[in-house]
Amino acid sequence: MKPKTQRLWIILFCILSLACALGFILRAFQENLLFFYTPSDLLNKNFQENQRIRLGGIVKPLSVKLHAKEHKIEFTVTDETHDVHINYKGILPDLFRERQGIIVEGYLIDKSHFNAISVLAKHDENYMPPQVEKALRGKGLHIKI
Amino acid sequence: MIKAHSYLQPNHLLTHATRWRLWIGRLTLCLFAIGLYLAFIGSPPDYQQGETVRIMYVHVPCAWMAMGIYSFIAILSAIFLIWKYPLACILARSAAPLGALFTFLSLLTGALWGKPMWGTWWVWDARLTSVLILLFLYLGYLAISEAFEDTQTSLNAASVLAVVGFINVPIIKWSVVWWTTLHQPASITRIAAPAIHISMLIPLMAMALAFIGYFIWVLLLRVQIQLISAKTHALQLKLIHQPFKKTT
Repeated sequence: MKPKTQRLWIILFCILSLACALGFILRAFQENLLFFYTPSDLLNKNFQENQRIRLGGIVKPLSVKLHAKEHKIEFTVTDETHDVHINYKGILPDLFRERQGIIVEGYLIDKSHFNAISVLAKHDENYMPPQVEKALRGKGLHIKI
Repeated sequence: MIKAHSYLQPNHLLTHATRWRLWIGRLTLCLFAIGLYLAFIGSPPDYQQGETVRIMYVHVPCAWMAMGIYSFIAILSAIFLIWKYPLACILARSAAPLGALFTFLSLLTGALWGKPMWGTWWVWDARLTSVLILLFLYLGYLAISEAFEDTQTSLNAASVLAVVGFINVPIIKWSVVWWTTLHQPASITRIAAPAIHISMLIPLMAMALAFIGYFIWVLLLRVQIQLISAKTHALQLKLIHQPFKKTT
């Protein structure tokens, strides 16, 4: 075998074996690489009470209650199968509103109650001018948020 | 065949690079003028983000360049390791600072966008973390390529790092698919139609072309400098080792 061909095979072999190794590592740590859990995960997986997690879902319409005096806010995060009631005290991001995808970080009270210490808005991959969005909504085309 | 191959000769590249560089430079300036006008004045605000969407016209091309340049470096490094073309290594080494710059800019503009939109400058989600690793790979490559006294050893070691680190590129690309992340998934490279309106897609593409032009422009300049300094060095060595000739 020519040295060139030999080097080519060595490099290909190295890359393949490293990719395999990394693939196994990433699979093993799959759970830790998730940035947030969904409300249904709270039902299916075993979480302890008072465990600190991040929970991602959609703000359920008509669920937001502001208590302006105490700066407290209550709302429900849903993934269409399970609802979680959230208590939060603090500043909300600009994009926070009903039907918005958000991520809350905080402590579990039980499978459907949660004390949040921070709220992040999750932005979706749709970009369009306001007029187009209005036109789409006028036609009854729902934009998934 | 002979002609295409002759461009691989450093001397040939040196004589033609200046002419190409001037034209690519002019083209890049035009593209930046068009792209920046479209991005900041000639495009509408977003229905959700308002004017903040304009950060995307810098952020997304920077991120594309960061990954594209890394792939470029990895392929050239593999060519250098296998076939020992010196020019491949010179190109890779010259592209690395540009790649590091684009990676840094995409992280910076991402943070500036993240604060008003997400509510945070930075989170340790899979996408953001893998891009930070990309920046460290660039910096590591640059450091190793200067690390040893023997240039050849340094370049070999750096090339191995570049090839191995390439595994990170598909991880960045699909991190938003494989894991739940705060970062949004791709809008353009998806199987369905792009999720970005045409009035925003055109400025984005103009900016992307401008960034590509800028990369080729500066890359040619850096390669020329490298080749000229190598030539000067060789000439100096020749002069030093030349036996002293008596002139009558």
